[in-house]
Amino acid sequence: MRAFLQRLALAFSTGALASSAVLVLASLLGRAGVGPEQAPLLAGNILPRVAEGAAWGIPLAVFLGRAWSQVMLAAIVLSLAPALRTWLVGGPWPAASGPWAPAWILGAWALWGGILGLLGAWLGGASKSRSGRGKRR
Amino acid sequence: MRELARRMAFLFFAGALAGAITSLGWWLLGAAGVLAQWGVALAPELTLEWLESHLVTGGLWGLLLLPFLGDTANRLLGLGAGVGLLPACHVVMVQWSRPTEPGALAPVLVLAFCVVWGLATAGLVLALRET
Repeated sequence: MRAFLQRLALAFSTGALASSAVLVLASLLGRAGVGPEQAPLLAGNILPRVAEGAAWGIPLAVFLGRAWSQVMLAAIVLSLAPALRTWLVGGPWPAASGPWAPAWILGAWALWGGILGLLGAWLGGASKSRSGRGKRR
Repeated sequence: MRELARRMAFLFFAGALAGAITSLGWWLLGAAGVLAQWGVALAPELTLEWLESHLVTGGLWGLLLLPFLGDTANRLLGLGAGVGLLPACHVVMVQWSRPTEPGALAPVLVLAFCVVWGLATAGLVLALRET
């Protein structure tokens, strides 16, 4: 029970940190004119987006503690759900319009998934072996 | 390094969960008309954005318990209640123009809820940590 609660906490916090990083990066790209203009980074904008990222990160708890490759793959696959939701249903973040909007939305969430996987695997103590149980001679 | 990051993740999660629980408690008091009865004009509407904001701020305030994570259970609970005073002070002294702006009882209620938040955060951290 405690171990699962710990994994839940790690996945939640990692999701929050990953979404914070992507928010800042998207905002910087928007300001530089490279990407679509994003809403200004104010508490009213940041806090709900960070919570959203944290909530989407929770399912990763199931995969924490497994091999690096498995955690990374799970995180990338998990990032497709919020990306598809933002693309199909629409949402406040990331702000994107025009023909490149799907690419921006998918890219932002894929980056979130990558950071989520990396941090999650590191914090969860992922093993480097494919099976996650070490190699036998 | 990794152990420190894990501890911070536990604290953020505990603070966020406690923040969500106490926010729901506050909303319940407002929805039940208790806050209005006590003359406190702070009955929030239950929206996802409102709850999410309290979730994240609760998690950030929870990080203040980081130096005390290894303390005994009783000490950690006491420190949790103590740390709860800080968000209460922030709300009353920074967010409001006058301490009694939303009602005479408002500062006392905020203080009580923040202390409960601190206790809940410390309790969750105790459930999360190894021993």
